[in-house]
Amino acid sequence: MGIEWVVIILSSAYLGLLFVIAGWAEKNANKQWLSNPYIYALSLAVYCTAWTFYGSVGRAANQGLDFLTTYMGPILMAPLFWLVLRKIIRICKAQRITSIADFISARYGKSLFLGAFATIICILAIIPYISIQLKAISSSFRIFSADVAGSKGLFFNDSAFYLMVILAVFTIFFGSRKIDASQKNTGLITVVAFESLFKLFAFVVLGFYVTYGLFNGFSDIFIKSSELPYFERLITIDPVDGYGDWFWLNILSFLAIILLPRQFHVAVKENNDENHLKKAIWLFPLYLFLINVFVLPIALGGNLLFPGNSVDADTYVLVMPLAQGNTFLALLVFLGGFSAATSMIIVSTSALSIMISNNLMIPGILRSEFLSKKLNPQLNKVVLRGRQLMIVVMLMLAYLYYKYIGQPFPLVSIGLISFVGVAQFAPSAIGGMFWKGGNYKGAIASLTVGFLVWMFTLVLPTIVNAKLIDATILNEGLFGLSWLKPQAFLGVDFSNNVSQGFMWSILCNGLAYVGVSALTSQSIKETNQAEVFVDIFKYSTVYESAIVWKGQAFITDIKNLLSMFLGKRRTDLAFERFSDRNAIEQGTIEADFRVVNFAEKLLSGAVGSASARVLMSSVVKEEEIKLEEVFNILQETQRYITDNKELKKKSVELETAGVKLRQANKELTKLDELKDEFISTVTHEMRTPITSIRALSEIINDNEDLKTEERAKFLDTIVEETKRMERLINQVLDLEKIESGKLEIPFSTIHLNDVANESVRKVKQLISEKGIALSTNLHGKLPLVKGNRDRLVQVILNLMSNAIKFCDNSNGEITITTSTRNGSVELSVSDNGPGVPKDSQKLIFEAFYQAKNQTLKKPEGSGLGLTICKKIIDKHEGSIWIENGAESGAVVAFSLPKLKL
Amino acid sequence: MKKVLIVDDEPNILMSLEFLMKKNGYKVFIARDGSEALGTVQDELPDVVILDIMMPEVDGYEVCEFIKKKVDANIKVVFLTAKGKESDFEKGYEVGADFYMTKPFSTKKLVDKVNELAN
Amino acid sequence: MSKKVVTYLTVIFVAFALALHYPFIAIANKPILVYGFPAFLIYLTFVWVLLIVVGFLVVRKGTSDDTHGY
Repeated sequence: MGIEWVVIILSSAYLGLLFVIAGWAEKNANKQWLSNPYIYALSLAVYCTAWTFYGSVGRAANQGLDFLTTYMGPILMAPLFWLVLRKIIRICKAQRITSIADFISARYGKSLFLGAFATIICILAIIPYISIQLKAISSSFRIFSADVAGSKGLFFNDSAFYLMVILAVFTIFFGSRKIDASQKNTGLITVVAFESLFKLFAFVVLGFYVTYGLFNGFSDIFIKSSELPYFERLITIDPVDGYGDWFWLNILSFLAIILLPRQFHVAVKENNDENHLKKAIWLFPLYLFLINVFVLPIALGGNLLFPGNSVDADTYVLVMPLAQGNTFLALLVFLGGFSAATSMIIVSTSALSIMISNNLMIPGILRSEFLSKKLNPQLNKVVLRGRQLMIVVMLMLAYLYYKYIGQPFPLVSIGLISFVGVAQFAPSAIGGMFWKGGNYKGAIASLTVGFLVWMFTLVLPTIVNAKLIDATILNEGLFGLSWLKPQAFLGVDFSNNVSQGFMWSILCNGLAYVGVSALTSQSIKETNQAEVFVDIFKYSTVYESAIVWKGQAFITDIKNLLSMFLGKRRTDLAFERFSDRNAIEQGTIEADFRVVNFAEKLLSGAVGSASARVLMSSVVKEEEIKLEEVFNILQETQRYITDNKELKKKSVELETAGVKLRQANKELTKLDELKDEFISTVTHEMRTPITSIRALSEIINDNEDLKTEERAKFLDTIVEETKRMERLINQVLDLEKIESGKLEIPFSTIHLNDVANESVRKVKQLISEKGIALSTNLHGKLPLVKGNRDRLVQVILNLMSNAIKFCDNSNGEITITTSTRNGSVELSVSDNGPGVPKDSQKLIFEAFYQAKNQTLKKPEGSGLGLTICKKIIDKHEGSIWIENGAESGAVVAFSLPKLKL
Repeated sequence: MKKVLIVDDEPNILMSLEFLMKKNGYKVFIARDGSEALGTVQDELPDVVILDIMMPEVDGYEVCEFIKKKVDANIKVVFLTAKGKESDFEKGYEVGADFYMTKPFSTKKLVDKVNELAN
Repeated sequence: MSKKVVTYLTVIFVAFALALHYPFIAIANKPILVYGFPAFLIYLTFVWVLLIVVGFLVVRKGTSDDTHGY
């Protein structure tokens, strides 16, 4: 049996092993240990492709240390993982973003155009990159076949083709099984981690073999090769051009480690725990260190063994063991390179397929009326099949590129050109994450300029080299203008085309982004997204409520829409869980903003955020908030806010308050039919804060020349007043909940003294600040009662806050007493204030007693506190009352029935 | 310089009214409840009084009545109150108010009205 | 991890970014062998290993702060 068959069988067996590992991992996907930081860090090493495996040695043998620039950037990014990558992960989780193109589109108002544009850049950048992986594998095949004197079997000529087919099957199986792209693919990630370990192992074994088997250790190689004529060039970088190239190429890889679609895929989309980043901070640089330690020794060793360029340096790693007759090691190395290539191909194609389906395919279907009607009933299948089809198409394209265009280039140059392509995302993606001012127009300008300069300085020369167009443009420049030569753009001629192309593209790109953003303005929708992206850590917990939405939608419509993409079962399940969590009643017909946001987020996972936006707007009738003037005022303030930076900070609080107001208003309207009186008093109570808010908002709006301190004071007051409203609203809701029996109050056996002590602890600080003397007089052998601890604490706190309000200004005294009487347990709070007139003592427990019964006003308070207390005590089957103290002051007391044994 | 007296027990509303009136060139006096207002009216004889109704101790109706009957009927009184029922309006005009405005109010409208009354 | 640890990590980034670029690398960028190793390679190896170790220590501190922090 010829060696080529061994190679074929081995590589098939290896791919079979991948299937087994992936299948096994999928089955155990819910096991805790499969999601661990080591697998995460290893999956990041998908960064090391066949280019690392074969190309690094080739580059080191010819050019020396500059191969390290590919790794310097990533190790410098590693300490920033927690700062940068974690932020990206958090944003993507909150918004169910699954690719870099989606990320950019979402940041700038979920723009369809930007998503499509970024996707096209990715396709153009990554297809050639995938093709060089195919090339690496097929040329490594060829080394074995050449070894077997002259046999050039048919199969070998197309080895890359078969490989492509198997990988397509694999990727479809494990990279694109789930319609919701934001779900994790444990099988895929486990395989990638395994492949990372395997390629490292193979490379390190070879390194040991060369360093200690063929030579006598590192220094032996270095000393022997110091005889080589160009040795000095290989162990230093050129002091004239070298530092500049070194700098630019480091920045390039620094950006690539975050922005490459496959890196984004493993590091962000497949991340299931932010804490995994912590280990990656040192583990990932360690991995890169290990895989690079032997590169220079192997390269120099190769140069020593094969002097005078007799062997292509890209193939040293295979030829060295083969030349020594060590076929076994050569096969191991081959599999190592094979694993590097396959993991890159698998992850890249999964990432690209999701990107294409979300940003090109689905928007296309949605736009075409014919298609969307025709495909309507099985849209979810269409999305999934489409994605799988895209995997095949991407691999086909890569194969064709390899076959007909990419042949003349070394591995490294294509890889670096791809890097520069995706680096064009840096200003809009990373910039947009830290700078709220970056806007849609800026992002378009940034991508357009970066893309054009990249195409011109780097891609165009490769097309010329492939003899697809005439070379005059390289020599004479565009339109014959000598300053428009691709490789000497603006007349600046670097020794290294890649660093030159990168420098120009990223500089022009960054300038365009900042310049255009600064000169144009943002839409409201965009501002919202900019806020969420930049301040994600503030929002991620309250994400659902942080976005103001106005409009009308029906839950059935939304459910139907989701079913089309997610299937009925998943949709129902998701809704059930969401309703439970957010206390949305069964049978609710109209969707509120939470449901709409939730649905949009779910949909984003399946079709991308921009398409999700479009889809949602088809079932949601968005309209101006038509509510009472309160909301108009909040809106006005909000509009003003968008122009004003410091105001921006406050806007969120106002927004949430506004949203809560609307909710409360709905609740109130319901109550209205039953309790006209109640309602009018509530709204009455609301007028005071609203008055301040409106007056101050108008002042801010009308007086642009306000002093900063003045404006800050007004804004703070607005926020304070909205908080006051919020408190009032919460109390109203609380009361409503208790009254309608919606609130369950679970009982347990408790000791009232404990409850009293807990309450005292909570207000101790406040009381001592006010200089009030607090004493407790707790009965030593108090019987137990049945009750709800938290609610009773609420009652006592309320009684105490009243006592604090009414007790003597200068010499306040409050006493809490527990006692027993006739089979019940009593607790009383007494103060030394003015007391309560006899005729008011019963009425005081009625809602809004203060406001309703007099034109005179008592000190602040919603007027609902005691009412709520009474309801709670009623639920306990106890009673609550108020009387005047023996000398002065009021005593509020409640009693609960003693626990019957 | 014309004088305005603002009577309200809500510090934040006071703050905004004070700003508005000063901005429009009035000399501003402030009272936080009815009895304080009675004193200030007698001492300063303002041109316009902006008056809340619900206040501790002495309410707005009483203050208005006192001004119109005991101090000077030419002092203009604007009620600015959360009480928005028809009967409240009527009672306000009954005790002699020159204008009755409900909270929340339009700052522009209030300023216009005060200007009109002051001149 | 606390704000402080994040600051450390940022400082590490700046320090190593400086250490790995001109003019600092020029110190070691000489065509000589030291004990049989290229001077520049020794320098890069040293910096790289240091980055791993420092990263490890800082993260460990950050993680233990998280668990015993309160």
